[in-house]
Amino acid sequence: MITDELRRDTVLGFLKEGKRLSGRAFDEYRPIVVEKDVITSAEGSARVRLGNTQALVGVKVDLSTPFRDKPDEGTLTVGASLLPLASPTFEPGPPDENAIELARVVDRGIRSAEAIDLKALKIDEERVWGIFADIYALDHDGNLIDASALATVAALDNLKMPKYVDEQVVRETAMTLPLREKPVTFTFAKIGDSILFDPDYAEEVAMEARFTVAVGDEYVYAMQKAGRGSFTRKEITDLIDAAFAKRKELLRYL
Amino acid sequence: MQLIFDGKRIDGRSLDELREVKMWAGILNKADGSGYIEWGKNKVIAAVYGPREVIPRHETDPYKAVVRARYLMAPFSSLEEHGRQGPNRRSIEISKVVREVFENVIIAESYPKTAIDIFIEILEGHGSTRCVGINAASLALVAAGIPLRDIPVAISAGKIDGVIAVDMIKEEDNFGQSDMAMAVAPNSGDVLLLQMDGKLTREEVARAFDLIYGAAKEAYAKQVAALKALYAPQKEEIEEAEREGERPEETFGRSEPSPPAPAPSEAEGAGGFGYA
Amino acid sequence: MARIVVPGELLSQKQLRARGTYSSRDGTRSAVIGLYNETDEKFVPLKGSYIPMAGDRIVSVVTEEKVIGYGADIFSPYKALLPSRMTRLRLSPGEVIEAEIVEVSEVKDVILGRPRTLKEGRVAFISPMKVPRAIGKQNSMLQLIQTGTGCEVVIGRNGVVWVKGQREQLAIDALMKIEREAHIAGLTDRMQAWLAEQSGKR
Repeated sequence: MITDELRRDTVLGFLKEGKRLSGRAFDEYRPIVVEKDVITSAEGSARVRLGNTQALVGVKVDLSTPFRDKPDEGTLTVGASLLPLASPTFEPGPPDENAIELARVVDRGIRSAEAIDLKALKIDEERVWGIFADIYALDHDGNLIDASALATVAALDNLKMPKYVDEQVVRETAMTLPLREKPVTFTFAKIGDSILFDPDYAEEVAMEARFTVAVGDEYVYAMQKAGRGSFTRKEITDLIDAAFAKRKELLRYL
Repeated sequence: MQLIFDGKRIDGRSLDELREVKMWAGILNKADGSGYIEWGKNKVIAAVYGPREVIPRHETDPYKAVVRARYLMAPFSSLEEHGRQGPNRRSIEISKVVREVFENVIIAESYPKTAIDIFIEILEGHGSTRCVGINAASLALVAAGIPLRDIPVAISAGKIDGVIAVDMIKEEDNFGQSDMAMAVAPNSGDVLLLQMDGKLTREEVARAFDLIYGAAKEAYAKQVAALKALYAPQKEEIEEAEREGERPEETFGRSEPSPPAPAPSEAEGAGGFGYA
Repeated sequence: MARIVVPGELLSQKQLRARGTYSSRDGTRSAVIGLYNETDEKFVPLKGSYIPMAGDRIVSVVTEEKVIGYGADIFSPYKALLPSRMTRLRLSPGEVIEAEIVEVSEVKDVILGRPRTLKEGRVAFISPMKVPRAIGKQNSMLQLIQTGTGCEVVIGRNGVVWVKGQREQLAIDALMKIEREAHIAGLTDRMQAWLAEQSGKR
C-alpha cells in the first residue's frame, strides 16, 4: 500500500536522527491497560490495550479427552483470529500463517512455563478439562504478539473452574485455578541498525526482522525470530537480557 | 524417560555429537534443483522450481522474485500414528519461518516478476525435521542455480536430563526439557531462524548457541561437498576446453558484467551486501 | 587453475562485477555454483536459467498473436514480444522462429527482432550452459553435426535447438551426447568418430 511505503521512509528518516515517529524511547513500551473478566460467558477473559493495539482473549473450559501420550493431563489449546475489523490488511477467512504463528508463539510461552498445572485438570480415567483460549485481535497498531500474550496470561489467571458432577458439567462454582507462573513476552523489531521495543504498526511495516522472547524470573520459556532480516548472535543475547530486565515492569499488569 | 546414561545419549552419541549425515544434490529430474538428506533416521527431500512465472498472477512482484516455501510431513513419516495428508497448523508455521530463512539469502532482485518455489517433504521424521528440511532446501537452491548470498545451515539443540545437547532425536524432542532450532548464514554467522520452547537459563541458551554454531560448521562442510560432487564432472569439462586451447568463458558462457543493479535499498538493512 | 566455488565464498577483495557474483562489504562473493580462476579472476557460473541478454540469437515458439505483435516463449522465466514494427512476417501460434533479442528492460521485458521462420524440422532442448560447447570454437562442433547428419542445425543461446534435414533424430542424439559427455576428454574426436559410425549404420 502506498501509505505503508511512505510511512516506512518516514520511520527510517526519524531513526537516522535517533528518534521514533511516536517520540518514544527505543526501549519504551506504550501505555498498557489490562481489564479482566470482560466476557461473562467465558471462564476467563481479558482485554489488553497496548497503545492503540487491542487484543481480547476469551477462555472456555470444557470436557475433553487427554492427548494419547499424556493421559493424566488436561489440555491447553490456543487459537488466534486476526479479525478483518482490526486492520485493513486482515482478510476474512481461516487463520493464515500470521494468525497461526501468533497463537503458537503465545502458546509456547505459557506451556513452557507450565503456568497451568495440567495434571490438576484430570477428572477421571477418561475425562479431563480442556482449556481453550482464543485470541481475538481487535485493533492492529503493531505488536499483537505482546498484547495477546499479556491478555492470554491475564485471562488464564484464576479461571472459573467448572465441576463434573453426575455426568454433568456444572459451571456455577466458586472454584478458581490460579496460575503457577506468569511468563511475560517481549517483542523487538529490527529496522536497519536500530532495534526497537514494542513496535507500532508503522514500525512493523518498516521492520526487516522481529524477535520475540517469553521469560520468567530465571528461565527463557520461548523464542521466535521472524521476518526476512537477520540478527547477530550478540543482538539475540542482548535482547534476552533486556527482556529479563524489563519483566518486572510488565508483571505489574498481571 | 531417562535420556542420558553414563554421559551417552540413548543412541550412543555424546552431547556435542551430530547424527550420521548423508547428503545428495540433484537427485530429481524434473525439478530445477533438488536435495536429499539422510540425517540419522530422518529422510528428507527438497525441490526447487524457479525462477518461473508467478501463479496466481496477483502475487507477482515487479521488482523481485517472490519466494514461497512449503514444508510438509508425509502421512507415513511417523513411527506411530498415520498422519493426515496436507498442511496442519504446525507445518504452516514451519513453512513461514523456513521461507523467511531463504528470503534472507536469495538475491531476489536478479529475477523480477518470477516465483522461486521451495518444497520440503519429510519422508521419514525422527527429530529436528525443520532443520534437516532447511539443509536439504539449501542444496536444492544451489543446485537450481538460484543466486544466493550464502548457504543456510540449520541445527537443533535442547536440554535433556538437565544438560544441553546438540541435534535432537525424536525421543529427546518429546521427553527433554527444552528444544531449540536455529538456522545461520555460515559466512556471517547471522541468525536466520530461531525458535525455542521449554526452560533454559541464559547460560544454557549460550551453551546451546555454542553447540549449534560448532555443529553448523560440520553440516556446512557436508553441504558444500555434496554440491561440489554434483559439479565435479563439469570441472573436467573446463580443463578439457583449456587443453583444446579455448578459454573457459568462451566455452561456457559470458563473464561480461551483469546488467546494472538496482541500488541496494537502505531499508533492506543488508549492511553493505548489494547485488552485482 | 580453476576451483569449484559455492554461493557465499569470497572470490576476491576487489569488486569484480561478474555475472553470477555479488558485491559484499569485503569484495566479491559467488552467488551461484561456479568455477573460479584465481589467477585471472574469472568466474564462470555452472548453473542457472537462461537470462535473456540483448544481442543473443535465440530459438523460440510463437505463443499468441496480439495487437502490438506476437508473444513468444523463449523458455526462460521471461516471456518475449516480437513487436509488429520489428517484422513483416505473418506468424501464427506454434511456429518456430529464430530471432535476436533486441532489448531487455530493467524489469526483464524482452523484445525480439530480426526473426526468421524455421519451417518443419524438429525442436530439442539442451542446457543453456552447454550452448557454446555445442557450437564449438568458430562453429566447429556445429559444422561437424551438420555435415555428419545432413541437417541444418540452429542452436539458440537459450538452449533451444532446431534441426531439419536427412537425419534429424541423429542430429538430436548428437546434441544430447554432447550435453552428457562434454566433460570427458577428447569430445571433438569422439563426436567425429561417433557420427561416422552412426552414418554407416543407418
